[in-house]
Amino acid sequence: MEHLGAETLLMLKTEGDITLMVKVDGVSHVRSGDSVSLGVRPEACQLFNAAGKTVVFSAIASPE
Amino acid sequence: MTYVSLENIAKDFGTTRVIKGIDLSIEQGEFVVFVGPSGCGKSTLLRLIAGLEQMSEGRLVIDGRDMTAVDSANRGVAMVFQSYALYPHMTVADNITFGMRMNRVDKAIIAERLERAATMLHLQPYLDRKPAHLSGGQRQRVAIGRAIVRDPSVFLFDEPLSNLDAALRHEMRVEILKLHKSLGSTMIYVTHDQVEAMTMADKIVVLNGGHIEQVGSPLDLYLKPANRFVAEFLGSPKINCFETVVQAVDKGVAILPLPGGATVSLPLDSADISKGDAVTLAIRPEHFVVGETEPQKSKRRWSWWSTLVLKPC
Repeated sequence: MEHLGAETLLMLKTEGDITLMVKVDGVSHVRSGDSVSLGVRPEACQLFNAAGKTVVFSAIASPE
Repeated sequence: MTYVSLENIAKDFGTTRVIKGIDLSIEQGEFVVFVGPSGCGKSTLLRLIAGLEQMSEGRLVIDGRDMTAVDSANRGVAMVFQSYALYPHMTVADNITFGMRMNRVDKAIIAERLERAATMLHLQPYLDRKPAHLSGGQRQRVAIGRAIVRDPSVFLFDEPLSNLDAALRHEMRVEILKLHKSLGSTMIYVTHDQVEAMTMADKIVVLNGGHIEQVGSPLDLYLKPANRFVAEFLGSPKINCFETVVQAVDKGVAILPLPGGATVSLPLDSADISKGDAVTLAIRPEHFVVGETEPQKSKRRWSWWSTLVLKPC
């Protein structure tokens, strides 16, 4: 994790050993080795096909 | 209305095609930024517009005039280089007025234009100094002053701030934008610095391997990239990408697995992908919400996935 003052960069390791870079505002109180849960809005996702071209989708997936 | 028009411009160096058929329209007064990784052709494209390189194919039109075969000096463009390219033995004033003096411009006009440029760029106290006695930022201002007095129809900047330190880069960015506002001129600006591209451009042109990946406003490119290259090129830290496989497409909604077992549902606009397709899902670092507990009911429409462990480092 990197404290930049105005923001904190967290490197999170998921199952399957994928590392995600997460940026949070200000100073994060998360500590190295902690478990955290992570949320993302579907509309903040971007999707690319095998050729790398953007697959367009509309605003929000309806909640179940 | 289109002011600068690039029509299928190509450039070969020997047998290698480095610019691969570029079409681009630039409006009058627009601030356009060419951005891309090293070797993408952005500087070469600028030099083709400047006339410092000959096009192998294509056509360049500026203000309705075909400039393809016109000499650099007669294209009505002025270029500002990263290296400033000042004459070390001349004073600031002489550097700025050199071109006009060579062209035997009337002395009164020279004095008037020098005064105007020096005022705009806060260079009056330094007019009698030699470049060696100026800071990097001041030297770049002199180089910009030399471009301003030519009263060009298009300003061309080739990575002008790359030699400056971070604080000065920010200051000069603001100054160049002010200048753009007060002059109202068309400006084309080459940089590898995405912060410059995002903060300065009306229109960003992302180049890669000699062709255009996407053209658009900074936020459009950031939020609606046309492809993975643009998504990964813009943004720091870089967008998170993970390879995944479409789990199902149900009534136009694609279900995609996230690392950790959760899924995200995306309603597709068209039948571009189907079940079993390999795709890349990408999420920007600032688009996550970090929480220690399960989301509230009000946040049900958010996709959450299981706990992640912060990498010890």
